[in-house]
Amino acid sequence: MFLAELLDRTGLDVLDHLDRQVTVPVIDGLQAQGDLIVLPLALLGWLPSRRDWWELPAEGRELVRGEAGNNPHTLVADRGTCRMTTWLGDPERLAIAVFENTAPVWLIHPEHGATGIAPGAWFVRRQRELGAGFRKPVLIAD
Amino acid sequence: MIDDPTADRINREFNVEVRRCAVEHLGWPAYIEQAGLRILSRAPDPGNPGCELRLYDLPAQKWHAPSRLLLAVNGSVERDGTRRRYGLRVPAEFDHPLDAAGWSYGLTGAQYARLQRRT
Repeated sequence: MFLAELLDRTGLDVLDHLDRQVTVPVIDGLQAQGDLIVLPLALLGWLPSRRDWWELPAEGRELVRGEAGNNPHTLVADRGTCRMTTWLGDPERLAIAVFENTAPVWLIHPEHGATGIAPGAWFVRRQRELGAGFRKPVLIAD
Repeated sequence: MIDDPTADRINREFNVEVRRCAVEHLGWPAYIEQAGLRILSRAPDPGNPGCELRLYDLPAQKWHAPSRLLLAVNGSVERDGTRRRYGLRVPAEFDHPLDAAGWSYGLTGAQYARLQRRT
């Protein structure tokens, strides 16, 4: 899939300076898009309850927005190929979504472009850094 | 603070967001030089070919938990074709940049080393 084609299909956009004539790779493993990381569900160590899963809507779903509120990471997939939940516990308190997909799903971000995630079961975590003083770690919002 | 940042003023700042804005105004390399940070270790950044993770020692500070600074390179290019560098404060228990980078995502260094792609 070309980036231009993917943007056309989803109605999403990336910054002008990113090359649209590139093939978006589909990765079957760990990958990071800025402050988000996609991990195989097996690493979480447990399965979220099935009753709180829903089908990813046609327009996709924003997983998290950047600091200025205008740089979302959006997950999109062909209809009927991805189910997800945001009801999950994570001992590290960083996970924000779990999904299962039967075809590649795409994670799109204005500054980072797009990346494909191979069929499988995955969860998404945010990134943290140490807080000031002795406070709890804080989440990164790039 | 943000308009006229110095490494010393940044180090004393408690608000993480103010600190981040000030460092980015100054530039991470300038901050590291001004603050005289000592590099502890470096390693190739998995999934980010040609880029390096660097771990710096941060001097002990009263009222702050012991910490280190992980300097990483953005996986995507900026408008001017360069790659932005960014720093993350991590617990001082880490000696290896992969362990520090892993911690930032709740992973071990060995798990983070399996990263296939970063954008």
